Amino acid sequence: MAPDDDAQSVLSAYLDGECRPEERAGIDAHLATSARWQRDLEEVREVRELVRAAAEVDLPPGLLDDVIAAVAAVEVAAPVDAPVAPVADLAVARRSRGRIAAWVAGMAAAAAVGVAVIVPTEPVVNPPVAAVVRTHAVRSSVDGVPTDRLAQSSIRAGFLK
Amino acid sequence: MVRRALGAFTCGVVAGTLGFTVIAAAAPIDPRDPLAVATSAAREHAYEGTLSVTWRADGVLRSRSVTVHSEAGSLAVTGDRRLSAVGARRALRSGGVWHLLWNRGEGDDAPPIADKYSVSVEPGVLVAGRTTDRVRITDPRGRVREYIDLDRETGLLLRREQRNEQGAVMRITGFEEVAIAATPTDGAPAEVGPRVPRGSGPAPIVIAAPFRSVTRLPGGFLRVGSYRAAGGGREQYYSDGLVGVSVFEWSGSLKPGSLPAGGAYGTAGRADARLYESPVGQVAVWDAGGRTFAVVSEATPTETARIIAALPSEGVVDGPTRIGRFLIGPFTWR
Repeated sequence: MAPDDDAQSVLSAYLDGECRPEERAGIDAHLATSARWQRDLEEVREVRELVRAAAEVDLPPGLLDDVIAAVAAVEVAAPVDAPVAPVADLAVARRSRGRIAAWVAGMAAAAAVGVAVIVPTEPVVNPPVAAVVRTHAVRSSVDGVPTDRLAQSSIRAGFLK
Repeated sequence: MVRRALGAFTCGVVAGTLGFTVIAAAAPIDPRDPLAVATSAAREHAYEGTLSVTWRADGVLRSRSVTVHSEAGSLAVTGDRRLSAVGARRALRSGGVWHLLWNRGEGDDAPPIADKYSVSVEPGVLVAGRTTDRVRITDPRGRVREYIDLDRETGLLLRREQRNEQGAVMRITGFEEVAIAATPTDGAPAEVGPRVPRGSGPAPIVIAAPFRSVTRLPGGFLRVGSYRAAGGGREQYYSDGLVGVSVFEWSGSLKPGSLPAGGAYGTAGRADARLYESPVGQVAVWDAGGRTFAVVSEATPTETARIIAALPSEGVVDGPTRIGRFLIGPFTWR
């Protein structure tokens, strides 16, 4: 039936990083051998996800766009003092062409590395499957008679990772 | 960790107060809203018992028993976990404290059952030794989709059986044993669940970009609520008046190896999906176009497949993401 509150409290502290190293080692050892504790750890993790979902706060819609627009407006308003290009000697320019080619090649390589580092990588999602099933059942139970949906939701579905 | 200590779980001793005398007949069942009498009966009557939950997984029916205790509209259910319902409030007990999961009424109105189904009432079977009236719900092609057995004396929902289009049982919740108080409760409600602060719990939100706002799904499912979901996602909840479907969406692709073990591989439109069966309903998870989706559906597998097919299974990937994929792709194993 319902899991032991004390064990879940310990596991909650474990997930929160509130255990001393020796306690953590003991819990790790217990988790390695106890299927019950592994299930309870998943349960505690699921509850954290559910509660965090309820507590999340969104930035107001369009806030980021407003910030970007404000920064752009400041840049446009700032005076631009374009430097006057010096007159170059053609022969000197020809001699430096080789160096420029090397410089361009170097910059291209650096840019490629820079793009690889700077371009945001696609975020990855670790979907909390057990939590979303519970969330659905809880939402569904609000319409009409809650007994059957809550009863279904009280059963561990076995979504162990 | 966000924790809300929601007070002690104080179960009243119902057993001693339950009687077994004949009580006034329940209100007649309204075919347009056959669960209304059960909803009001659940608020008015104290009852407790053992409820059997049966669901289909891997082609076979599985069953578990949970205990149910209700008094003056406060419901406590104890299975592997303990959950509580007081009005629209839902809480889960874990780690010695109650965690508030829900504290609001429903969103928009769900469509009437009669918009999609036909409802008839007939004499029911005995459930946990009690005489019932059976509500038969059939789809437009005349196939029975649900039997709902209501206690003839009180109107309480004693058994619910959901079937697919082929007539196979998908889920059953039914009392094995139940004791119902002789008289409806009145006065101040007894506290059988946690006391919780007001005004907390998830608030309805408006779905905005980059999330996709979908107001209806195939099969007559209308969106009745949108909410934040775990992991920074969004949930859109739909109903056809009888059963519900939730569509969850997150920004980003599915992390390799992140899904729970088990389940089966299937398709969601043009995407590969992982499919699970749970006591609550079917679950499908997939990613498309840099988005990850999960559907939790109480609908039949056929209806669920149509719903999934209507959701994105491939998508437009924005420029920076394409560049990122091109550059990073050779160094990932996915």
